[in-house]
Amino acid sequence: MRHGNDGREGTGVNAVAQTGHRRLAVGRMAGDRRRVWPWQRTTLAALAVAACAAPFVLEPYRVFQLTMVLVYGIALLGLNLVVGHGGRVSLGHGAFLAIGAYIAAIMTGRLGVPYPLALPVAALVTFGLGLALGRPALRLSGPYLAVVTFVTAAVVPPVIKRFGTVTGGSMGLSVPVPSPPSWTGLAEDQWLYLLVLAVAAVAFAAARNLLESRAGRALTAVRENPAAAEILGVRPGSHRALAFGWSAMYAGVAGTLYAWVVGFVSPDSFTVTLSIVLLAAVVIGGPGSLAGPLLGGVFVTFVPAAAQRAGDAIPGIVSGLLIIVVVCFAPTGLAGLLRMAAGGVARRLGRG
Amino acid sequence: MTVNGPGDHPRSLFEAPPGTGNGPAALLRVHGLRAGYGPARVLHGVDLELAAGEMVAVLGPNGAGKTTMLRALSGLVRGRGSVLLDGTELLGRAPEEIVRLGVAHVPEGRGLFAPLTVEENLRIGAHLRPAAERAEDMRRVLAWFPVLRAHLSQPAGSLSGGEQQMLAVGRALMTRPRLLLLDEPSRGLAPVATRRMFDVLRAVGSHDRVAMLLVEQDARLALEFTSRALVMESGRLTVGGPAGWPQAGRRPSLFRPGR
Ligand SMILES: Nc1ncnc2c1ncn2[C@@H]1O[C@H](COP(=O)(O)OP(=O)(O)O)[C@@H](O)[C@H]1O
Ligand SMILES: [Mg+2]
Repeated sequence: MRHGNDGREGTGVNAVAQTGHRRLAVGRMAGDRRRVWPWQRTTLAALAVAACAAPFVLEPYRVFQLTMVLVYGIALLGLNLVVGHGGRVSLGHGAFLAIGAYIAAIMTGRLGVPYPLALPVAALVTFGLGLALGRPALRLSGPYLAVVTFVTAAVVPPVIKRFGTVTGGSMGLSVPVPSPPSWTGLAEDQWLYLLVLAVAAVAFAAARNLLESRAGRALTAVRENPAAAEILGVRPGSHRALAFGWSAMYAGVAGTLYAWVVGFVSPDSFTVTLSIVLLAAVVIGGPGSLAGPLLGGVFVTFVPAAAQRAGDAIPGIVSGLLIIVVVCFAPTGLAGLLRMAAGGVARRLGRG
Repeated sequence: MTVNGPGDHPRSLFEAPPGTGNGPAALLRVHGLRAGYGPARVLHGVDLELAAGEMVAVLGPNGAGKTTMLRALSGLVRGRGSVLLDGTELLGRAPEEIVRLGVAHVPEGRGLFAPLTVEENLRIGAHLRPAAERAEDMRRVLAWFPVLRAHLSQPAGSLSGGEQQMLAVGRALMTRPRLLLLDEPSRGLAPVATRRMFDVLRAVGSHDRVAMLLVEQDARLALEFTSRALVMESGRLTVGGPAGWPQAGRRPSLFRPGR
């Protein structure tokens, strides 16, 4: 793994610091950078093109499903900040999804506010709630945090039912579906898909920037070794809380998009099972990677629905079993498996 | 090289070297430091003085409390008593504040962030530094440890033991410390690599006037590179004497032959 150190040391004061193992640099080993998959950019570009073309070639129901994959992908992107990058477990992200969805439903459905305004409001509110909950909760160690977040997820649906005059109670609320501007000539499902795609693109870019920023590095450092991070001046608590705030915001935004796409919200859409399925999806998609949440979104969209046909408790059980399988056999999740497969193909092509 | 080079003056075992006593030059003054983990008391009143730029070894058997002392100094473990850095009390402050005041700690086992690259590890060392000065800090550290430059974009976990130790020290230097606490930096290194590391440490100490508290198992090696050595024994520090002073008769069990 190591590169040779080919006589690049300084002189003078530094002469004393020549501590490397002298070894001749050969071939790739002489290089400075880790090898990158040569088609990474090409793949990304192809994916972007495919994503933009999809609503024009797929039938409306498939477009709807793909939209839901993106919606859940955004929520998982946020949850991944806590689980994959922060190394903490949250069983409560369904609650933030619910809050984002109800903000959209009440603002546009009851108050008649133009629908785009719901997005920043939901983002701000859930960010604030996430910070407020994250600060005390993240000081607790793993199992306690899981309990606190689980309780949050469990409490939200009853609270929604309790305040029926605003929320519509267990009957739920219907949400006016954003209609495409007439100049676009788009169908409703296509417009919704493109809207969600745009938000998802921004969300992914923001998450990427966040992770490569000073705060993102600090978060990873805290996950890897809290004490070592602390004696370099990183405050573990505040970085974890901030990550929790960000992740709640992603879930809130996803909730608003959910309300737009589904056109209806009810307490039963955001049960504890949803929170469990979301956590499973992060683990199965691949914690700590940026592709993981998208693959996880596929999981949330298709697997629970399929499992539900066998019975109400089945999605939770299936999620639990899949977590165990993935943790045992593929700890880097589906994203890790894909990366390994791509690496294998690249090596084979490189040789041949 | 160091403030009190060995052989400057003949002095008695119990006399503090010039510049470390009550003079204005003392950078660190520890008095009656007590610390522990919950009900378990580990340090029972540690006294210590260190001059700016001075390099002092801390020897002692396993479990004596050396690591605990460094943790107390950097705020990871709550301590009682008094720890003055240039007149500022450190006890009761958060680790982050203590780093800001100029104390860096290379922990036992290095504490690298293995999946992050060498460059990212160094950048986390600069977490509290003003953005404008980070590039200069990085350049400085890479000048001390040029080997790291070839590995900047490699995960820290893929480096050799010696390189990892250099990274751990380099990362601590990114905080621009006045006092560097080193917890067994030679652990797991070949003697040659250890010597090179200590050479760099000594050069950094004299060039940038960084004081160092070096916890070390290999007494002979430590005495070769430091101006004096202290011995930690069941939670108390006792004076070991100036480096190079033949100790064999005094505590034979402690001074294993060097490797
Ligand atoms: N995290 C901890 N929790 C409880 N006890 C500890 C912890 N770390 C060290 N100790 C105890 O404190 C004593 C001193 O340990 P330490 O400071 O690591 O000694 P040294 O570094 O000199 O080998 C030992 O008895 C050890 O068991
Ligand atoms: Mg120790």
